[in-house]
Amino acid sequence: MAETSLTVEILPDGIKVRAKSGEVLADVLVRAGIPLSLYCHQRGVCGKCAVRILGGPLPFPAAVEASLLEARGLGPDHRLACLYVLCSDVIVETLPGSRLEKVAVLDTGLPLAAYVDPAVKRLSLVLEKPSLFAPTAAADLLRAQLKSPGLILPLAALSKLGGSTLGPARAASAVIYDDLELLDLEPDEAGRDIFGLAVDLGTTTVAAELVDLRTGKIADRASAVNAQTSYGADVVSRITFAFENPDNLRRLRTAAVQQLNDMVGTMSRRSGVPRHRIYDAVVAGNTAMNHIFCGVAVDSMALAPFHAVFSTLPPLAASEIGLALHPQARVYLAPNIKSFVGGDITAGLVASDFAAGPGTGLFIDLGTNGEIVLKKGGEFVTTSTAAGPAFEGMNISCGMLALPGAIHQVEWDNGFKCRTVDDLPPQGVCGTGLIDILAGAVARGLLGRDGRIIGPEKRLRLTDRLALTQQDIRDIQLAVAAVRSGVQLMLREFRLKVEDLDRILVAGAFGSSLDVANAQAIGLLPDVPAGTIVFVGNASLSGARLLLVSRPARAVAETLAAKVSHVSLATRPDFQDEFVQSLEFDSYPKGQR
Amino acid sequence: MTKNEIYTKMSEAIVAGDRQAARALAEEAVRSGFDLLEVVEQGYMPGIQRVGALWEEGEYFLPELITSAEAMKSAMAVLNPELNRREGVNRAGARVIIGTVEGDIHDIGKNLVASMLQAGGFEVTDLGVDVKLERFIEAADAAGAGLICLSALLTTTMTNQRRFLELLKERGLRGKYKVLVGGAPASRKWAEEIGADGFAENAVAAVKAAKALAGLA
Repeated sequence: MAETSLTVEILPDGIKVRAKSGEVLADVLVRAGIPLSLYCHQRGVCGKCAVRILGGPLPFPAAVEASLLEARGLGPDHRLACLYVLCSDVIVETLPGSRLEKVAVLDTGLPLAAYVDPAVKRLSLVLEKPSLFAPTAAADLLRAQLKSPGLILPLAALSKLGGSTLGPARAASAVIYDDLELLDLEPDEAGRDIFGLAVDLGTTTVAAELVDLRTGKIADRASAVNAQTSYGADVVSRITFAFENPDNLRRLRTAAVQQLNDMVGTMSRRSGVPRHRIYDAVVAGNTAMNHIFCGVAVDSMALAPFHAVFSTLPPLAASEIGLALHPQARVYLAPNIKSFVGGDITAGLVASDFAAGPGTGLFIDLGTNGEIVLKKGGEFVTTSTAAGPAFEGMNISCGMLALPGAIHQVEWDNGFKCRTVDDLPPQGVCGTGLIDILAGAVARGLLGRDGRIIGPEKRLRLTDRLALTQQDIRDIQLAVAAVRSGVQLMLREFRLKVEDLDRILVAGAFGSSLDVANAQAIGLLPDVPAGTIVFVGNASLSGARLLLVSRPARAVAETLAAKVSHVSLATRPDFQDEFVQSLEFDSYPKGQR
Repeated sequence: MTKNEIYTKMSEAIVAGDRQAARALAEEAVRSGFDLLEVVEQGYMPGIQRVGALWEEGEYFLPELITSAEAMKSAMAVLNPELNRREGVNRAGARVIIGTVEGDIHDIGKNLVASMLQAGGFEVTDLGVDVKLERFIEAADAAGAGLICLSALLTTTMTNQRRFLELLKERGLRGKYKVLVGGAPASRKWAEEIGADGFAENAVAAVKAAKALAGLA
């Protein structure tokens, strides 16, 4: 049959597109930009891409298609778009339930949403029985039924295919990973839930979410101080510990894995989701954290040139890692950027859609390691700076994390007026409070721009009991300078000025309670117009969740991670001067330097 | 202006980190035929010592320390050649070898120590970063230096400070050199543990420790 051109009118969008006869309607709809749910990858077994044919031929549906349509309660003028072959003009109406659903990506900041299209899918089917007249092996029948001749079948699933677990009706759910591997074959009545685990494996804090992979919704969350902390507070001391002997690496790894298993246990009890319903996990962590998590030696990260063993890995088996999820569950690691910058940053970049658009952008993750990524059109450069733990309230005489009782907002009214988290009596100061205090003290002449406390007391008194010492100020000064000199050198790398920045995304500990004007006044954040700076919160965790619910996002992350170049600050000859100049509590200088 | 007033101005130029003034005063002293040893000892040295004291009090921080050390260097650049010419001897101070140990590339702290040692009158050879341990011995040998300063910023690279002392022992050179260790993870306890001769937690303390080891304090 010669290919003839025909017209497809799509309602309710009111779009008309050209198509060729012989084309599949689903392909035409996707090409027209319709977010059609192709859950089973056009195998005609999930029924999710059903549409209504308002004008055009209605060929008799096959038995499977008819039962899928019936199961959704759809009338006789409905068909599956993935099975509908065009032979003349059609008018087609898409159904709300046949479109991919969107789910919010970030908890704070940008109103980004992603289509729910996870790597793990559950397909209900009635297994065909081999007949005496066509003695095909059951596994081959299954492959044919799923239209996946290359489907990888693990032994655990094969034994179920032969055994009695599926019952005489042979109604089964096939759980398929990344469209190429059968994770499990379960009796269909076992329920249709599929869940995933999103993890931000931070050096200091581990945060996890249990996510419904059909809806992208969060079923429960948990967070805790990283259990590895007992072996060292920061990433360098963990590397050192692991470097000392292989047993230590095993200890660190076990601590992380056990902690995650405990967190999964807690979330499982609270939400009623059994562990074996969790088929997929995404872990976003810095390079050292994800190496240790996999039990890969970090010796090469201990000494210059500080290189990593891997940047991206194909999905791993959860059982090999030691995670107690479904026995066949997979673990995907957010890809690292080269050797230095981890998958936590990649996840954050993807979650905040940092790479989109033509302009310039700056992504700053304010943690113990301040990671900075600069975008200029389609070019990206990154670096990490040793900001130290001052922003988390560590190393500060009266510092603390942003826990209840922490001074987190400070205004000046004839003295420091402190507001605490949950309005409890002040216990100490957290990062955002420190920044408010410094900016206020500089503005009122209590603190020199050089960081010297003016006046005989040599302290910045906050309450009867709490005061900042000169040494505290020096530590914050170093932390601010580390971030600022990093930003300045990134800008210089791309010959950009602060004024050229279209937007700045701030991720990490601070969150939206950071006073932007104060952070700009002491030189932590660049001086850009209000509204240019957006807080994206724990973008690493949001990114892990995005990579869990959206398989296409994984490809985006891998492409981006490979594209970002890395600059080591310490090896740049201009770093020292920039760092020393950045020690002054003052706004970013204008113009290119 | 009396001599003492001039010395005070020299000291003030160093404390203020005023490179031009420090240099101009040194040139003036040379022109006027001052006793240049006395100029160093009573004019400039008190200035850099005051800078050290201000640092210890928390008044001064890295930028001030750097500008003052620079001012000191610019004055000494004028005075040293004159001193050598007039005295007919090389008035070089005690010689020091400094560097960041192999495996480590961090150098801001090390650079600052080198600057302050120089400002404090030492003849400093800075080997840079990621320096092979053997290089320290070769350089000390070549320069005739008795003091070797090892910097390390990471707990992982700090172990090379220990290896260096072991290397000296293996070669039977332990008695020949004094070894001073520093860097963020180092501590007095660490220095004692590995058998170093001294530890300094910052550039000002390093000058004091170096002077004590060189028998100058």
